[in-house]
Amino acid sequence: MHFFGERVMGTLTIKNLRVGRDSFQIFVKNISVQSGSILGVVGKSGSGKSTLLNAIAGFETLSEGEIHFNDTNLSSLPPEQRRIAIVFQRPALFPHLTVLGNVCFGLKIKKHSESVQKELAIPWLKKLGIADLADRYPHSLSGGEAQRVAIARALVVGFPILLLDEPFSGLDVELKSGARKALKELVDELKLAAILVSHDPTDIEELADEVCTLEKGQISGWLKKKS
Amino acid sequence: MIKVLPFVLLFYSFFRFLGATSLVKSDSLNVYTYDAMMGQSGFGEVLKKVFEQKTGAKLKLVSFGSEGEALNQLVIEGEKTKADILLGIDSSLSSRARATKLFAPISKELFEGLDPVADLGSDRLFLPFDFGYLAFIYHKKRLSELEVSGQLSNLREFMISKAPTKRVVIADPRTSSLGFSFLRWTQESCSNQKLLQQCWELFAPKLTTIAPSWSGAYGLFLQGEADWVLSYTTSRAYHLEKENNDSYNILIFKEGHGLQVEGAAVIKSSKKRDLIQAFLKLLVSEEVQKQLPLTQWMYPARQHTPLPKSFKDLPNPKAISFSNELSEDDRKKLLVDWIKWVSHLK
Amino acid sequence: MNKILFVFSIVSGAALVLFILPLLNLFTQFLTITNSLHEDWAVLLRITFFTCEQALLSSFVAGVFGCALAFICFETRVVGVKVIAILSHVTFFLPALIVALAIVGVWGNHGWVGKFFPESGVYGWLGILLGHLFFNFSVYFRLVGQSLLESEKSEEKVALSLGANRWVVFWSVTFQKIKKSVIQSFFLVFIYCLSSFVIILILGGGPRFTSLEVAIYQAIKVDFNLKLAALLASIQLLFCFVAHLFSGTASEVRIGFRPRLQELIYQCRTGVGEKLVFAVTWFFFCLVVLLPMIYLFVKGGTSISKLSPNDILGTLKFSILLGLKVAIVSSFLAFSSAYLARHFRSEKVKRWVSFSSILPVAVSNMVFGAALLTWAPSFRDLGSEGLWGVVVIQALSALPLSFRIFSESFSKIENEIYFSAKSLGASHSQLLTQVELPMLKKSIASSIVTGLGISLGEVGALLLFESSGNATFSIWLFRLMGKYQFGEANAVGVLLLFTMVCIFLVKESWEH
Repeated sequence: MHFFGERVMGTLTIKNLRVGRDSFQIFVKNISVQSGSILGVVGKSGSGKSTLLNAIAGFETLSEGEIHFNDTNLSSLPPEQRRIAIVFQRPALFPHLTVLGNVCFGLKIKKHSESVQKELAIPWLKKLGIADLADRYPHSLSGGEAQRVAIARALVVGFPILLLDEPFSGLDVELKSGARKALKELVDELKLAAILVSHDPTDIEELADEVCTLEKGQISGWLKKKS
Repeated sequence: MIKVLPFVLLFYSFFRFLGATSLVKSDSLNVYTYDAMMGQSGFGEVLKKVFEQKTGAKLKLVSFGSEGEALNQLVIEGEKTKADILLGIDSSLSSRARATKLFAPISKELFEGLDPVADLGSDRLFLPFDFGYLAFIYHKKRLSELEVSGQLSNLREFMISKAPTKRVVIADPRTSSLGFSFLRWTQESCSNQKLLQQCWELFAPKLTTIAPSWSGAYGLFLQGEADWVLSYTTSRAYHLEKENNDSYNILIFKEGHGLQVEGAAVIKSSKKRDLIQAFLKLLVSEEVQKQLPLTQWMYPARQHTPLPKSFKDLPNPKAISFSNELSEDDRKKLLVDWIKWVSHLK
Repeated sequence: MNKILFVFSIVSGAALVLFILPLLNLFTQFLTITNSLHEDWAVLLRITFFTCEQALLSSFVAGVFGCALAFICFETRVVGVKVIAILSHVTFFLPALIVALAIVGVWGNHGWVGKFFPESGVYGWLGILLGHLFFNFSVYFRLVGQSLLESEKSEEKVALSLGANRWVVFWSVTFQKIKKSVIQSFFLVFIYCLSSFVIILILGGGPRFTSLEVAIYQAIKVDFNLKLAALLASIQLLFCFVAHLFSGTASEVRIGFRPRLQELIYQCRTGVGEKLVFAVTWFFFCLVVLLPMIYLFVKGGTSISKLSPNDILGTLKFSILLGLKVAIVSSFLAFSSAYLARHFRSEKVKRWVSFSSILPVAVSNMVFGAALLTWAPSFRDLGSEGLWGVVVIQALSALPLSFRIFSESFSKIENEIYFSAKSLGASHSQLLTQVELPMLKKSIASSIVTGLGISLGEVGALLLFESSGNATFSIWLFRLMGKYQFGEANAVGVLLLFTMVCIFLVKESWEH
C-alpha cells in the first residue's frame, strides 16, 4: 500500500535513535506505536521528551538510528514530507489567518481548491466545537479554543501519525477532561499512531495505551504495557 | 485589483528610470557644471536654450554638487571622460585645475572684449564668464549708521577694530570656495604672515559661527543670527530686484575687495572643436552675458554688457586680484594655520 | 538544500561585494603610500578625539531623552502618542541643513527662545547636542518603545505587590528588560553621530569643532585627497566595528542598582516623581523637537505660494518614484539578509550577516559615493541620468534600518509556527510565501517607508550622481538656498515635512 494518499494504517517504529547536541543527547533503543494507539512519554523537565518528538517530526537531525512507518524510512525525509502532524503546548496558530484559514493551511499546501478545503475543514470545526469561530483571528481566541484549532489543523490533513507535546497544559480541568475524551475517540476513529508527552498523570492514565519513562535522554522503564 | 496596484506602482517606478542615456552623441555637447546652474531659473538652462536654438545641437548639462566635485570627476575619468567642457571653474580652484593637465588652451579672440578684472591667468586655459566682488553685507535696520560710518579703508581694519558689533558669519574656507577666496583676500590684505595671524585671532571672537557654505551663512544672516555676512556686492541687487527691499547694504573698503572669477575650460581630449567653439562664443556673447546678472547674480565678464538697474546702482569697488596662485601644499598649510588661529580664541 | 536560502545568499553576497570592493579600492590607495601624507597628525588625533567625544555625549543625551519619552508614551498611554510617534519618524529623515537653521531659529541669538537668553551659546556644545538630539532621539524612542510595548507586565506587577516603589520597579525590573535595546540604540546613535557633518559645522560655531566627516568632506570634495579620505574613513569604520562589538556584548551585562542609589530612589515617592519626569520630558520634547518644526512651518508656510504648482507636483512625483525604487532595493536586500540570519544554521555566519548588514551605517554616503566613482567611474552613466548610482547609495544607507526591522520581526516568529507549517507539508518556498511574508507584511511596509524617508531627505548621493537636473525636495531646497531664495527653500522644507508626515500617517493607519 502506498504511503501517500488514503489514510494508512500501520506501525511507527523507532530504532536506535540518537539525537542531540554536545551536552545533551537522547538515545532510544526501540519504540513502536501501532495505528489506533497512544504511546505516552513521561519524565522530568529536561529529560528530552520534546527533543524526542522534534526528532521524530524531523526538526532535529539524527546522529544515528531510523524511524519507519511500515516500510517507509522517514528518517531520510525532510519534515514536510513525513506526514506527521504535531500539536505543541502553545497552539502556534498562524496569526495572519483566521481559524478556518489555519485549519485549511495543510490542505492549501496540497493545492486543494477552496471549496474542497472548506468541505474538509468545516466538519472538523464542528466536531471540535469551534465552527462558530471560523472567521475569528487567533489573537481573539481563548487558550482552550486556540488549542482546539491547533488540533483540528493537525487532524484535517489525514496524516497517519500524530505527535502531541503537552497539548492540554493551557486548559482548565473541565476543558481538559473534554479534550482528553475527544482525543481518545479521534485516535480510535482515525486509527492514528500517536505519541503523547505530558506531565499530567491523568492525561497519561486516561489516554495512553503504553507509557515509557524518559530519564536523562534514555528510556528508563515502561509503566504500562498493552497486553 | 487593489492588491495588484501596489505592485504595479512599484514596477512602474522601477522601470521608469531604467533607460540609460548615452552621453556619446556627435551632435551634442557635454558640459560638466555645478548644481546651482541647474533648474528652471538657472544660468545653465539659459545657456542650453540659446545654444540649442543657435546651433541645432544638444547641450547636455551634467551637474555635480560643486565645481570642485565636477573637477574631481574629470580627474577620475581622465582622458576617457565624455565631458567636453567644464563650466564654473573659479579662482580658488584654478591652480588645482591647471595641475591636472586635462584642459586645452582657448583661442585668443574669445577673450577680446572681456573685462580685464575678470582674469583667470594668461595661459588661456579658462575663459572667464562672470565675476563678483566679495563683501560684507549688513541690514540697515540692525546696524545704525553710526556703527557703520566712516569708510573703513581696508579689510584689516574691519577684522581688528572693536566696532562694529561682533556678530559676523562667514563660510568655511575648508568647504566653500567663497570662504577660501575670503581667506586669500585676507592674505592679500596683510603684508606678512604674522599680521595675518593677528588679524584672524582678533577677528575670530566676532564670528557667530562658520557655516559650511555660502547658503548656510546667508541663511543664518537672514534669520538675524549675525549682523554681517560674507557674500558678494551683488547680494544687495538680489534683494532690490526680487523683494523690492532696500534694507541690505554693502560695506565698502577703499583699498578694494577680493574678486571671485568664474570660467569655462575645454577638455583636451574632446574632439568636438566646432561645437566647443560655438558654445564658448555664445557664453561670452552679449545675448547670454546680459542674462547672467539675474540668474547667477554675478557681473558679466563681457565689458559694456547692459546691466539691470539694481546692478548699475551698486558701488564699484577696486578689485584685489590675488598676486600668485597657491600650490596645493601652500593651500593646505594656509588652511591648517587658519584652523589654529580661529580655534585658539574660542 | 533550501533553494531560497541559496538565492538570498547570492543576493546578499553580491550586495556585500558591491559595497566592499569600492571601499577596498579606496583603502588600498591609503595603504600604498603613507609617507606622502603630509598631515598634521596632532590635528588628526584632535579631530578623532572630538568626533568620539561628541558622539558619546550626543548618544547619552539622546538616550536619556528618548528613553524617557518612550517610557511615558508606551508605559502610561498618554494622549498624543501617535503624534509623537509620527514626528519621531520624521525627524530622523529631515535634511540636516534645514534642521540646523530651524534649531538656530528657535535657539539662536535671535531665535524665538534664544533671544531671551543673551549669549545663549547655541553655537558650540549646546548646538551640537541639540542638533543630534533632534535627529537621534527617535532611534531610542522606536527601539526602546518597541521593547516596552512587547514586554509583559507580570514581573512589574509582582514587584509592586511585594512593596517595591515605582523607581525600584523601573530599575530592577523594567530596565532589565529593555537594557538590550537601550544599549543597541546607544551604539547605533553613536555611529550616526560619528558621521555628523552639517550639524557640527553650523552649530559647532567654528573649526574648533571639526569632526571626521568634516575632514573627509574636505579631503574628498575639496582637496580630492583620496588617501587621506581613506585613512579617515578607516578610522570611522574601526569605531563602528568596535561599537558593534560592544553593542553585542554589553547588552548581556547585568545592570543592577546599588544600595546608595536605592536610598535616593526611595526619596522619590510614587506619583510626584513620575509626574515630574513626565513634565520635564514633555517640556523638552516641545522645546527641542516641536518648536523647531513649528518654526519651519511658520517660516516656510507663508512662502509656499511662491512655488509653482507644476514644480511641486514634478518634484513630488520624482521624489516618490525614486524613493520607491530605493525602498524596494533596500527592503529586498534587508529581507534577504534577515532571512539568512534567521535560517542559517551557523551562528558565525548569522553574526557576520548581521554585522555586514549594519556596516553601511559607518560609511557615509559621501565616502561610499567617492569610493564607487573611483572604482567604477562609469557608474555615473548607469540608468537614466545616473539614477542607479543614487539608488545604490541610498538603498545601502537604508539597509541597516530595514535589516533591523526585518530581523526583529523574524525573531518574533516562534519556532513552533515553523514546525507546525512544516509538519503540515509546507516546503521552504511555501513557508516563505504563506507564512513568513504574510506575517511580515507590517515589517515590509515599515521597511518601504523607511527607504522612502531616507531617499526623500538625502542630498549627497543625488548631488554626486544625478546629473540631469531632476530634483527631489531636498535637492530643490539645496538649489533654492544657493540662489538666495531662502523663503522658498523653507517652503520646500515644509512640503518635505508634510510629505513625510503623510507617508508615516498612512503607514500608521495601515498598521492599526
